[in-house]
Amino acid sequence: MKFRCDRDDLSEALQTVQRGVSSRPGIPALTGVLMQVAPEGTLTLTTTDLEVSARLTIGVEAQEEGVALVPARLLGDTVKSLSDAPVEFEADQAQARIRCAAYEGALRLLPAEDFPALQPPSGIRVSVEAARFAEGVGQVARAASRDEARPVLTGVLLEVSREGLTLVSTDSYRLAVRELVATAGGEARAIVPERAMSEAGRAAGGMDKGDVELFVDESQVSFEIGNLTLTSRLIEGEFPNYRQLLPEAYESRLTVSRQQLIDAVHRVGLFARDTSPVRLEFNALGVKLSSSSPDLGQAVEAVEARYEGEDLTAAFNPTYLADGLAAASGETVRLEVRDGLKPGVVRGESDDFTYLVMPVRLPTPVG
Amino acid sequence: MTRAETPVLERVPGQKPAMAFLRRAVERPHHAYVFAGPEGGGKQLAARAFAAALLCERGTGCGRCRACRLALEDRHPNVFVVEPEGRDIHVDTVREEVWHPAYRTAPEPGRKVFVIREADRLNLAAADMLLKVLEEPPADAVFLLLSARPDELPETVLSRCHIVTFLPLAEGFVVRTLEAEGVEHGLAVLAARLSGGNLGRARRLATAPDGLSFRDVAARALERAEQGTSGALDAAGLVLEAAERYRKGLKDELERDLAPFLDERGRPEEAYRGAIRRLEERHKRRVKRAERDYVDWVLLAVSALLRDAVASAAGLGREALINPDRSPIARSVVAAVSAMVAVEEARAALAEDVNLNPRLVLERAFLRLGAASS
Repeated sequence: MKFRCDRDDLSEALQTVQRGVSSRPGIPALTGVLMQVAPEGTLTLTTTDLEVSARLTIGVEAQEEGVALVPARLLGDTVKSLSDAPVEFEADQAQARIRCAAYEGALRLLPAEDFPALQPPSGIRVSVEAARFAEGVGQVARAASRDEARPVLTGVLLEVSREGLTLVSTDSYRLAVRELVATAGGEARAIVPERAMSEAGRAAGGMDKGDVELFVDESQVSFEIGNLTLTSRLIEGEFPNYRQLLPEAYESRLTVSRQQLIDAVHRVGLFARDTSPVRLEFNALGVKLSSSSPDLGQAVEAVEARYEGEDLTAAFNPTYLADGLAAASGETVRLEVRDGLKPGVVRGESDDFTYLVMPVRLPTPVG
Repeated sequence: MTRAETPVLERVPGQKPAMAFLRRAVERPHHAYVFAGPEGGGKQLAARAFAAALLCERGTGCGRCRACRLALEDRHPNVFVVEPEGRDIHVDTVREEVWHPAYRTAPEPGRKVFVIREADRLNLAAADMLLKVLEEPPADAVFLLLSARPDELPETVLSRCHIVTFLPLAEGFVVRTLEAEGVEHGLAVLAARLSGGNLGRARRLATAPDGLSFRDVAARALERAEQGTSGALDAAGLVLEAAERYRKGLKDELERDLAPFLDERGRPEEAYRGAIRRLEERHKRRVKRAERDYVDWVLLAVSALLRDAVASAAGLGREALINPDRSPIARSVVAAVSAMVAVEEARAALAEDVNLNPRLVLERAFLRLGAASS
């Protein structure tokens, strides 16, 4: 194979396909990037770690079609360091030759037939606006579990229906749900590893405009983001029925400046430890936050806000609460509470995002 | 029919019942199997063949398609191989290489096959994690646990697996195989007899330049041990010196094996790093075990010499001897048997407890051996 192209195009493309794909030790072929040149003038780069694969096509001046599996890191580093001039690339069975200005290098190739056979995108097709998709992923990804003991919770649930696309994640202490407007060709459900989901979100965030296309089938999900296709394996298993956890109505509601509440939770939360959460006392004036630790000291802060409902006290893990407040959008945020034992619900200015956070049970006062 | 056309499950020789069982299992496999049987009997060969048959594009284990070829070389993306790093299989290894991929959809369409070599070396936490996967197995996964000591696997793990028994290879089969590889008949018989059905070991005995040297060490030690107390202590020293020579030789040999994968500065080349790490681990383990392995071979050879003395005293002919190339030593049946007891006790003690000092165990054995003959 043989082609000629712009250095920046190639360098950027190589970086894109390498990001998000970890190199699994033990299988040399996975450390390579598969390069395919087609006669119509395209170069397709593919990488995979068997869980996530990335494929990107760019336009090149194709001189001879062909396939080569090239050590990805070395190639990436080489191309990045080349001077700003057209790059000529030529590969035979054993090695790849790179020429650029006065530079000439030869890289030993990996056996291309060892590269895993990847499946093209297939299944139910979903279109969603790229910017909204990126925002939605950012809102739910934090709530996914890091604990491998329950594999399904380490992923993000994709629920596709005629009405749209729902993203859900939970680590059983909090639950994040984002509804997205989308056009879909049918119904589908899939649990996508959080790492792949975040990578797709990041790539979508880099798009100026346009849609992300998702293809969901039984064994994989693909995201077509511009000229990049990310494909991920799915997590097998049954995602918890989250809908039954979402309360239908609220009894008490705090409407408050989002930034003010986030800052207060952070400040007061510095004294909170696993066993001592942040207490929130809701009353007509707003909310009073407090936390204390026998070893460290204590802090109190009152935040003025509009509160509808009876006075009550609830306690939350400050990190989980702050994550939810940060994920919600808009100037103001709504915090719905029922009593100290039921989950609190965080909503932004629009109704498409819901964040549930489990309260920490406070010790019953003595006497 | 050439080898490339033979279905993969027909290619594992000398294990008819086990392979017949696996051929029937391919169509509707259980989710977990223990391949139980002594080292060198073909368990790994069988595991690769079974994995190939499970992943084969034609569904039969044709041996020709891409899936078969890759599986036979341990390179299929859907095959996950786990083996001890150091002494044990650690919980982190099981989490990364078994637990994690088990609950993902397979890298390529089809089943996922997990091969756990030397499964009896799973430590407690690792076995627990594996057990959880076996209790809630993903529908498309098949687990193959290979072990020469299946009784050391936790009962909870064993009870969830079908056991496939691999027998020690028949002596005739080992002899024929070695002869087919160009080993001369007499040597093939000797190696087969000394290796007790372990083809790999028989091959090493027959082809390594000093493969049979431990027998000479055994004969010399036996002779020395009969010359009183200081002779017995010398005998122990003699064995340990030979063991050390063997260990060093093995170390050099393994370093030579690795050399092609290293760059000029002795570091592994990027693309092979993972593969090399495994190779190095395996080497380190072998070198670490080398002294004990060698001592065990010598003791086993001492036992064999004594056993031949008993056979000869009982009037049996040459063909019944383990060492048909040597004249049996003269010893009364009673003396030879009590000497054998001392040797076998030493072997058992060394196999049982890795913390024993081999010199003390050997000295004790040779002192008792000398006493038995006087």
